[in-house]
Amino acid sequence: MEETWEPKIVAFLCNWCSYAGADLAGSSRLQYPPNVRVVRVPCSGRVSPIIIVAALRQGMDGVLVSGCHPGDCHYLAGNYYARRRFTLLQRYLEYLGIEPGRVQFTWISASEGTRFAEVITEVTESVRALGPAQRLTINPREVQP
Amino acid sequence: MPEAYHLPSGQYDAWLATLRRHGRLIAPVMREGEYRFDVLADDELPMLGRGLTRRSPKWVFFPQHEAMLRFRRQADDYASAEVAQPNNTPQVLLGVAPCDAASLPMLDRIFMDNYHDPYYAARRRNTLVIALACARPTSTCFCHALGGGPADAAGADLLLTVIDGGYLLETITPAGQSAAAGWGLDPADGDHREQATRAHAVAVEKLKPIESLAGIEAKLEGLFNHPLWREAAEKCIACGTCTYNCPECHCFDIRDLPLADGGERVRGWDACMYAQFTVHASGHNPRPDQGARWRQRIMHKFSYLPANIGLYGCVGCGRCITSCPVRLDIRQVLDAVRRALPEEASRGTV
Amino acid sequence: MSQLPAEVRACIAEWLAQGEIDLFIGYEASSLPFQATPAFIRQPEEVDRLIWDATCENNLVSFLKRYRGQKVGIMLKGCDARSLVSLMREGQWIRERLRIVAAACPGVLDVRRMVELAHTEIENLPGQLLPQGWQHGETLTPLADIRHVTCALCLQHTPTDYDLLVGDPPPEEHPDSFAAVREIEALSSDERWQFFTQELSKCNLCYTCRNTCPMCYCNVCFVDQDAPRWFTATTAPPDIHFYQVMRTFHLAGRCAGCYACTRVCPQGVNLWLLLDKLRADVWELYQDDAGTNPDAKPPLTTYREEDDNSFVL
Repeated sequence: MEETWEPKIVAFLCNWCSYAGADLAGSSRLQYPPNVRVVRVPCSGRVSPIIIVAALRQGMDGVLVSGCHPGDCHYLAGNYYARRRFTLLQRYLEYLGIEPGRVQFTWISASEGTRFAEVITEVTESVRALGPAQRLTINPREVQP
Repeated sequence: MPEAYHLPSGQYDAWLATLRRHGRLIAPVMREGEYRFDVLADDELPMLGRGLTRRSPKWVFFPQHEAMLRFRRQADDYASAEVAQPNNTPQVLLGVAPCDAASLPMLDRIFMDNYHDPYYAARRRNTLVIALACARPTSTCFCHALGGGPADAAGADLLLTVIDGGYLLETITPAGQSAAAGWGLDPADGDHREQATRAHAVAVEKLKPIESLAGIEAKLEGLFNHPLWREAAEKCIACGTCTYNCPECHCFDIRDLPLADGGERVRGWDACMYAQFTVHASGHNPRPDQGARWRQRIMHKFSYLPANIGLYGCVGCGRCITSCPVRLDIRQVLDAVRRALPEEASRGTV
Repeated sequence: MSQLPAEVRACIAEWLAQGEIDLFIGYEASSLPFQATPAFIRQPEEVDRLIWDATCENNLVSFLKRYRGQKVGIMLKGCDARSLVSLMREGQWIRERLRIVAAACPGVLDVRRMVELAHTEIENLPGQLLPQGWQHGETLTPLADIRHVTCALCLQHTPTDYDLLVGDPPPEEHPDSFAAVREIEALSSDERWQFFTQELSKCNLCYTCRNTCPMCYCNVCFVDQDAPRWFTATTAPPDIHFYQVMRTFHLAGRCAGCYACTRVCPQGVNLWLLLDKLRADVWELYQDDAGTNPDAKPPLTTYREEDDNSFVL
């Protein structure tokens, strides 16, 4: 059991925009919380809902998916398709009782290094406020008092 | 002649209290709209005599989720593993139908004969099985086609029969005898025994006449490649509910379940009805269609088990019939087996 | 049990004899009272086995995936027809290869509920519990009282597209089918989680819901995949939750609300409470109903630039 709990967050970033945005944040030496594990994906449209739910199942406290802004998709419309799936998934998970904020979506372009750092800070803080994930996870931990 | 005791209604509550002192009490109750066997709360009363539970009580000995090994990740990133210990909690399984009790001698052969399964054996050793003579056979019952009956006590330690103003309690096994000897009940008199015999006869009367299945294993010889399997299985949706609810089906799979900083190796039920059940690592599946899977189900129960252990893998409880989402009736499949001619079997696969 | 009308049987026999269909999938009496079983008819002389009444509960559309490439005749209730529409708009079947016998369905019996009400075995059900117009006995209970709970949500009693019709179409009810979803939405997050974990605790992972769903036609279901292996398939709650959440979500924009999964669940899990949320959201966001227009594009295979974007950070 960890002494102090730190949220574990996985971020699925599209190769063409959000991953480059993360790169820019890094090369600009911007500070953001180290709680995020980045997984580079070709497009936000690649992120099947099962990957998101499997991440929660395997003990992630939060999941972030970020792609190109609508209209900017490298593959023209991948993020539009993704947007429909993610809208439904987020509503569905909340309906089932998963706390709002566990699964987040956003669009970050290659030039938005600052915004990347802000989003990661925001997501980390909101997941921290929720505490360790207890639902859908195979890894339920006691909430530290 | 087995010993018999009289359990008048007035002593029933005290007797239940005695059973609870003997071990944790498992009996039929209504839970979430389902009539099923469950562990009773301290003040909970069993609901006896409402016919068969939807699911069989085989989980008492062979649970759907059995941890066999637990492993943990250590601080230095090494893993430690610990073999799960068999459960030696004393238990009383009360109100088992004679057909469910009849499944136990067969399961004993599977889990305690050639291969000795410590988990099953510990539960069997520590569980007192009290059967309740069946008073309401239904149209789906066919225990009598397999040599069983509403008052057949094989597999049970004790047998209860409802008589006027209480129960007759007959001891069947030495374990049952020694348990009952300490319960302070009066011995039954001739009238009690006679009433019980009458009740048994009334239940037998209610059974639909049916052709015996004895010897069907001989008929199954030569039907391996018969078209009847595919025809019988056409409506099957491969859900496996028949096998889950069956008191005799005992196939399992072993899986590693990851948990907080470690995990457990779990033995869980599996079923011949699933395509995945026999799929090879290469992708080849020797049972390519549902017909082949149904053939396995029938052959295992009515041919291979009689050949290997001398017992059928079916007690005729009829749960597979009543719980089937498409009402595929195993009796009709067995009728088709009876009617089938070996010369119709092709040399190819089904 | 009510045999299909003679003229309908004759017509099916004719289809079979003329080779217009290779197979007719309908219902016949099972060995159990008040429960029909799917029938697969290939010879014209077998059509006399076919029945239609309130015991014909299974959705036969789920069998179609096995007969790809064949010409099939099929018996459909209103709800089943809706699931066929969803299947057709995904290109999984074409109308030209089907002959549809539509059943005007006032609802199907919930035998489990009847047995509960009567406190007896199925075969001993008293006459008072039989639905109105039942040929076997007294007719005291209106069907509405003993039809399946999902029939109260009926979206369509009678198929709209058919070759033959059996029975008199009852008036369509247009219930507020999302009322239960709205009720659950009004609960707190914790209450909802508690509600669904309780409901799903009944599940014993038999996959009957998947196997009976007309829309579950993946060649290899995610639960059976080995690489990657998505979950362990034990009956531990996280595994049950993973299965139910992912299977139902895979039906987002595809579920037509036939509720066959709920009717066949051996454990009585109210799966419709999950699926209706998805249907409610798809309707609200994309104005799509999977069961109405076979030419419409499934909502998750298309998009609009002005789609809701409010959920992103």
